Amino acid sequence: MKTALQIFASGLGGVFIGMTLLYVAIRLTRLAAEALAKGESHGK
Amino acid sequence: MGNDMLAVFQTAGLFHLTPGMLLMWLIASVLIYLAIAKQYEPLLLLPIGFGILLANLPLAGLMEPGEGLLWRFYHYGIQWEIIPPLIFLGLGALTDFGPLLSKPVLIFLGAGAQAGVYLTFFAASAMGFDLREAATMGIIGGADGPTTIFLASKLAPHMLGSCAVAAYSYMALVPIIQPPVMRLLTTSKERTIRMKKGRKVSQLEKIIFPIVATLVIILLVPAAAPLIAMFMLGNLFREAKVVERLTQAAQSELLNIVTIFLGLPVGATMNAETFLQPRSLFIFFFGLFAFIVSTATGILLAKLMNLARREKINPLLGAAGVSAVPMSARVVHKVGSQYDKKNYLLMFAMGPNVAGVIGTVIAAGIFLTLLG
Repeated sequence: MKTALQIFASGLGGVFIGMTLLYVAIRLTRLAAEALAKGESHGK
Repeated sequence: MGNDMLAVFQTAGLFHLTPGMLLMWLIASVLIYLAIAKQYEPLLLLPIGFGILLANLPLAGLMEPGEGLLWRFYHYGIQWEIIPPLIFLGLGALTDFGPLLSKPVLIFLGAGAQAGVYLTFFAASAMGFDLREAATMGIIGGADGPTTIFLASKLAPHMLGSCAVAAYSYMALVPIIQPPVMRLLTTSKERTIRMKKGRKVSQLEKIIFPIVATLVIILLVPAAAPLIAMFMLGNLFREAKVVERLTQAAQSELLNIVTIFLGLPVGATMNAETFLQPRSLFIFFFGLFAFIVSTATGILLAKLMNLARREKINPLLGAAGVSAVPMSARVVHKVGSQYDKKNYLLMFAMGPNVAGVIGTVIAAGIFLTLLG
């Protein structure tokens, strides 16, 4: 029972950590894409 | 002459039939009927139903370890982790992450729905199930067939067939299971919340995202690598727009072929001895419980997020956090439009829907890490 509770907590926590990191990654992706697009337009 | 006749009769399967096998024929017939007449997930339930029938033919030996044809499909396709990742390659090539990238906050609804997976896991283990079996039952709540099969083949192969049938049956029943939960947990006012239009997502973002997501998820949960790697590769094919032939192959031909080789051996794992056990009833019960709780936790998380947000989220979108792409997104849209005909929720619901796929894979990866 104790092991199940530990897996429950760490599993759910892990999913939320993973999704939070992905959220940050999406934000950074947007910034990177904008920076790349800007660099490209300056280069022209 | 007499001896030859006797030998023929002795090797005829007819005389080796058991009542259990006949009952499995009935179950197979029901699944085949549902697939053909009702079109409930026919792509999977039809080959699964036929696989059940084949596995319950005495002396046919189709699931004979090392020899049987279906055993070979099962061993090399599923136990060797080949078919579920290939299905994910196709799904990735079909997935548009645009709605999620446009409103990234909706990614958390895909995480919220995974609470149902873990609550079911906890409930099943409290009922005395082995932790590996409990995890396999819990993952049904993620409403993702290939992930359920992937995890079951690793943690509880004896439950593979039942879990797959439960997962696909409940996915087909999303329009029946989810709406009552959605109505129960939301007010009429909440159901009419209109979402603000998301920003336009550039093609460059769509190309970068699968690469970044692969790195983030696999670095965090390496056990999820086979599924996530192929899912994101398929998506990169799609978004790169330079490998149209590969995208086309992954989306259609390959996906169709591996679907055949997934359904048939999964059904064939359901022989009378392993399936006709009280445990199978519990699998269907906990699978339904997981589905309902996942829907509920997604909705409740959306409501919780609204407490801290100025721009409110329609909590119905939380129900799309279970994978079941795109069925649950369609159900969200349908329920929302019953209360406000001009409320177009489908595109917004696709965000948590695809996030749910990723969330379920992460949940499965964590189970594998801790219990594998």
